[in-house]
Amino acid sequence: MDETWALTKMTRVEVVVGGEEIPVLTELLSEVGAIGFTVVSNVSGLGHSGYHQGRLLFNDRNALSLITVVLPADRAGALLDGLRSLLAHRSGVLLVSDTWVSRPEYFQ
Amino acid sequence: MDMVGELCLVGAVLAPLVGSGISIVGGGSDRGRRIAAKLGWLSAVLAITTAVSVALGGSFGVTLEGLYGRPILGLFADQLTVTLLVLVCGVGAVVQSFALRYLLMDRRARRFCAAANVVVVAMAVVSTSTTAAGLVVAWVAAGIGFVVVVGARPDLPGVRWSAQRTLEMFALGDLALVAALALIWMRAGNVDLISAGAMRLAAGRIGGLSGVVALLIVIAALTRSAQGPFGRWLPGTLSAPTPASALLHAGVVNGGGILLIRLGALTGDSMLAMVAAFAVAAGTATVATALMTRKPDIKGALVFSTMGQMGFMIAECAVGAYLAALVHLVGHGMYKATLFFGSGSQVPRLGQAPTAPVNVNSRLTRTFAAVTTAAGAVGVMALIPGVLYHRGGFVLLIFTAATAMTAGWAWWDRPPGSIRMAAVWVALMLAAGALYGLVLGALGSWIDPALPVAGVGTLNPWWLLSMAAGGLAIAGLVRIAGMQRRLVAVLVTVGAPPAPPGRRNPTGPRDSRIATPSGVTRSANLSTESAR
Amino acid sequence: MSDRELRTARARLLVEVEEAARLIAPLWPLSTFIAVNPFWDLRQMSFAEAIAYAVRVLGISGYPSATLFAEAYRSGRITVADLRVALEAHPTAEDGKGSDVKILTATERYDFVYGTRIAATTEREVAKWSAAFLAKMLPVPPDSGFYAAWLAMIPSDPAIRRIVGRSGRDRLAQLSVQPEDAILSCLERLGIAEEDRVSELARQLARMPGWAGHAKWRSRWAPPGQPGPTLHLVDYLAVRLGYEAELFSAAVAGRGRMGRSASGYLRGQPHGVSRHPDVDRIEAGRVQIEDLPSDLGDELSGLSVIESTKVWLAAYEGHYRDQLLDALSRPASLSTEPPAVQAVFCIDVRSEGLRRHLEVVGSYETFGFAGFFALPIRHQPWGSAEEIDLCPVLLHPSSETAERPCGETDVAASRQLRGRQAQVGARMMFDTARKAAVSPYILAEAAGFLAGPMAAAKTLFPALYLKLRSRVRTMLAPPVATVIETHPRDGGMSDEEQALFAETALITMGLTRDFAPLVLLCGHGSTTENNPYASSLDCGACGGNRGGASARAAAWILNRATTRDLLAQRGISIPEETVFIAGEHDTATDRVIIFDLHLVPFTHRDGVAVLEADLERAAVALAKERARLLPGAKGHDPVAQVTTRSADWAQVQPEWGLARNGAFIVAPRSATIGADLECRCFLHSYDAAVDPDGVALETILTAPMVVGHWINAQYYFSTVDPDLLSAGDKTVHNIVAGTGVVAGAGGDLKVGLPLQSLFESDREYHEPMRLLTIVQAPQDLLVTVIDRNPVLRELFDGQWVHLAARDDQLDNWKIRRPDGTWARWSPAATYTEEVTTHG
Repeated sequence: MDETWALTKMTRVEVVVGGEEIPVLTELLSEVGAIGFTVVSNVSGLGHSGYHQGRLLFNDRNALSLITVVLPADRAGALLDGLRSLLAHRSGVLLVSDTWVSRPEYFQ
Repeated sequence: MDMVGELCLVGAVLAPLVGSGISIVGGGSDRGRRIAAKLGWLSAVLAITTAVSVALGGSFGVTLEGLYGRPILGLFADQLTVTLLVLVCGVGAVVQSFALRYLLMDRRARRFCAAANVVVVAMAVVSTSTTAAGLVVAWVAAGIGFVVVVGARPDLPGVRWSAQRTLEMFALGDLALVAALALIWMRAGNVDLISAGAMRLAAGRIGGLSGVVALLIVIAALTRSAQGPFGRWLPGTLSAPTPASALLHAGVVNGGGILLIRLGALTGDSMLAMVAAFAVAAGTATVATALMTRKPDIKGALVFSTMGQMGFMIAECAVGAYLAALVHLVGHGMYKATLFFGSGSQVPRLGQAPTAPVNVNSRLTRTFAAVTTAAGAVGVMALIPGVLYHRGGFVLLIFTAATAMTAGWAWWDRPPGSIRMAAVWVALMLAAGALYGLVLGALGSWIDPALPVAGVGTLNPWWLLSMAAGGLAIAGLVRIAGMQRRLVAVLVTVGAPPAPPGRRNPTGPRDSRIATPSGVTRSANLSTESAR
Repeated sequence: MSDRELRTARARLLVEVEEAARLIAPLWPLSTFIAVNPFWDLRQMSFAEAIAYAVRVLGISGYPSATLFAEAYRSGRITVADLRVALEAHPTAEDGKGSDVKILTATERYDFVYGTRIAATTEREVAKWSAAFLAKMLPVPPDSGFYAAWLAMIPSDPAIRRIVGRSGRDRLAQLSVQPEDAILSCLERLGIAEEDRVSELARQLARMPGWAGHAKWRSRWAPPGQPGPTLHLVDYLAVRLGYEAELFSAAVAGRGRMGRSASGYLRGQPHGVSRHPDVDRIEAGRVQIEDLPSDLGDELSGLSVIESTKVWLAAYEGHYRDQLLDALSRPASLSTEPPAVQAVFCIDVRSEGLRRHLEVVGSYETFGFAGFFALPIRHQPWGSAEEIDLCPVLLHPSSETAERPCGETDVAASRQLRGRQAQVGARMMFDTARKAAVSPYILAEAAGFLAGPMAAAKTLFPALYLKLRSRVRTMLAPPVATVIETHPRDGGMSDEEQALFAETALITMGLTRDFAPLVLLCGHGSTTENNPYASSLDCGACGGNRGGASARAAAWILNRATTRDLLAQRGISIPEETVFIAGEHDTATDRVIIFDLHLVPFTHRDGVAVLEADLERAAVALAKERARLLPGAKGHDPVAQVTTRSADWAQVQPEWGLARNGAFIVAPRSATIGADLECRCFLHSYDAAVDPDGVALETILTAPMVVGHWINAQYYFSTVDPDLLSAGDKTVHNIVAGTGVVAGAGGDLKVGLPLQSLFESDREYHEPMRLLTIVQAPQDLLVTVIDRNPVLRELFDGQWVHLAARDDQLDNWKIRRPDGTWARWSPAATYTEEVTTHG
């Protein structure tokens, strides 16, 4: 990205995981110092453990959710360690990428 | 007329005993207990009839006489004893009826029923006994019966230990009482508790030992009413089912007061005994009431509340305010039993609490309302004839004023919805004051002849205010920021449930393998000295 | 440790705590008691594996006792044929011989060897502080967490010096402000290696499953904004481990002073340390039956104890399954004439009885649907300060409703509010006076003289007393006609959303055409007196609350013209003359109250009156049926008996609730009508004909069935392990902070259901079996739904729930095996016949 765009580089972490993991994930996120995150509930997909039908009308906890969090690269390491251990025992997907944000103070 | 009264008296005392027998014999089904419950109600009705008899026709009694016409054992109905009888039989009836359904699933319910009935009979005899010997025997029987009640469910956690502890403490207190009886017997034989003259004579004969006798009786009373160091058995009794607690707090724990009132002529002259009783009781009242405020569980709070209330009662006895103590004994018993029975109602369901009124009254308004309420209630009370004439009447008025003020302060937190609501509330407060005054006055003037005269050793009733002072002091200390944490930590810790004596931790190390939920098994070295 | 390393260590610890907490059941506050599968978070393992793990950590037994099975065999509840079938179906390869070693904390092992009381002391102190914190009795800022509060209070604790010594107290005061750091340092001091942390933490939590359960509820299930003291898992563990580490250090230091080394002591241990029954707990008793046929007996003895227990359990469940499937195989005929009223009840097992009796009383067609009627709402009753989440706990409410008075003037409404405020004000006044410094003394006396006769009256004449009390309350706060509605402005449901929920409800239960003139939507609740577990008898689908408000909201939505127009656009046309009304079934008295009569048009008032009369008759019949089973009810008039029990404050078994539940049936009513299911089945209506893509089936299986499974599992485990997984005897219950219950004076919070809900005297009343889900739907649809939902795969493959299915009314039943294949069902009796005839 062109420096003249005045953007700050950060790390973006996306996790697709069962809805019932959201509480522990939010605890983990606040632990590593991530200020905010976004949750999209009831997503569906196909993975190692089979197909997950996303849209369950009356059950938020057993459908999949997607959590997106952006945080400075130096904090991302701790988060990834935690996420790796978390996902060691349950099905889920972890995606890490670089991203640039316009208002870095939102994510510090 | 007397014949009917005597029959009612005997019936009231014996019916629960019959019930006890039937429940034991009655077999596996509930029938025995059902009959026992009905007999309990019968006994309550007979007790009330006896009371009416006494009110209409004067006192009477049924006595077993021995040589020279001296009474050995007997039951006597005068104003005092019959009031106590109605309380005991009433409580017994409600407890049995409650336990009939509450202990439905309990295989050992028969044991509870039988033992509870024994307690009721024993306390009834304590209340109405003609002679000191009868009273002491019944007292010990009540204690033993109650230990059986507490221990009726040895399968429940903590029950065995609690029963044992109760037995030990009761044994201590009963030993004191038996020793006192022995001393009395040595000097005065089997004292007739009914005629004031006989009591004075006996007191005279006891002479130099009267201080020791009084002190021993006080120790017995303090133990049964869970005061001070003698009261550590009370918190453990919560391991027993609710009806046991109801019976205890309504019929057994006020035994101390009953003892001190009935033996008032023997104890009231000893300054040592009265000061000791007052010191322990007033101290317990202050401390227990403070502990109650930091008890997170409902039954635990009720236990400390009872300790405090019994302290108040015994303090009243120690200042010679026997009528006040009696009214307290009776009123508190019914109050505490009701609270225990209803202790399952303390779970607030969602969506029922109404929104609070928007406005809040200013402190000035609240103070004004509180003071005027107090003045009104107390004023009404004071107007009722007979309220002030008994010993300690003025002090009680002050306590009543404090209660009315607290109630008024709490209620006037928000402005009432309408003038009508405010008027209704004022009327209710005045009515409450009037009712209480009526009870004191009417009951007081009726019972007064049967109550003992305050002895020379009793303290000045104004000493009762020390409990108010102590309570206020603690409440004030808690507000001080620096003291707050310390004080609350002390209250929480002292009030925490007692730890049963240690058993060796039964789980044992077999091997040292460790596993995780995912099923991976590893070995680890068992090194118990790895702490640094 | 650098900041990065610190954060990493904390993150790892959080995950370890999560792993460790998997076997702890969340414990909801008593105001909204939720029956839960205690091992829900272990469902990735199979039923047997999860139990095996829980046996090692919690010390449960996990299976019904040998006595129960022996008794069942003697009474014919299990037959030889059942055992043969179960043995046949039993997998020959035993599950990987798991370890049979108990998992203990370091301090427990130390206690055992040295006779110290570290674990017991820890528990006493932690329980003390937890209870005081929960009751808001600690002078700490209101939003402070449990660990922070404890740290603030510990220096002032008078007992701390005696327990851990002065240096211990100083070290505790120095503990890190961050609970995770404290946990890490305490684990290090206890000598726990990193790979053993999860086991240690798991056992730490398992020592007090009640407080751990509360912490787990707060950390993982309570909505973030939930008011109340926050006792989180990490905080709780930090406090526990703080004590453990210090007590351990003090004990070891003390021992060192005595000049003996621990390893030396251990080496000198005598052989055969006395075996305490708990040490032997893992091996349950083997079922001993003398008169089994020899071949069967030999085969069973050849299996290990656990495996033979599993066979017995399968036989126990198989017997019920056979009875049920047999009853459902009988062809039944629905009446052909159109019904006058259609009634939709909750899936709760108790509704089955009312439906059965109602259908014979008149021309009624009944349906079953989860009691929240597809409306996940946060509801605010009129004049209430609180909002209630009226939906299963698996769901977050997605919109809000409110109840408002619909009368002409506000006078009546505000009068009611004032009356309620006055009552609350009176209670608060009483409470304040009770707890203040000087006032309790006279209060006790004065109140006692009123309380005594009141208590006597309440005990002698419960029903009469209740009536009088209601009358007084009504006088103080006269009821107002209200209506429930949503307001689109703030969080309410838009018209489209309302139509969507309505459509979901109607399609899911298969009621999309042939509407009767009157349709009753009936929620349920239970009225009991003096019952801390009152919420456990209310509607689980409504989050442990009464279901009347959901029914009213649903009826309101379905009556709206806008909704009907939108529904018509989607193919569901509700005729104009159809009116939806709402009711609530009181499962304690079996009365059904119909709400909002003022909203019913005049044309239908007669119909409603007839309905009410018929509901009354059905109620009487149901009361007669139930009274036969209620303990102590023999010989009394059934209707009076249930009314009295509901009003009696001394009654510990007012109704049996969902005891004896066994199956969850997803099928049209035609499959079950006429069969007497003995109030043991959850009935959810479903019509495959209107559900081509299986969405309705999926909705039912992934939510109501999960709720049914939770209820069934809670009843199962509380019955099978009453010491550890049930709340014990109700008669010694002591409410703490209005939120939980302890037994007696204090200690751990109680989890699960009380004994009085499960046992009759000392015999099990509830039959502990795993839920049998019965589905009537095309097989490929069912298989598709299962395959695309991991939660269903886990439940069925792991044998947490059994599954039987058939394509339609005429098809044969098939049972799903754990590997996903299907086997044709035939009753065990016929199977044995086949075996014997073919040799």
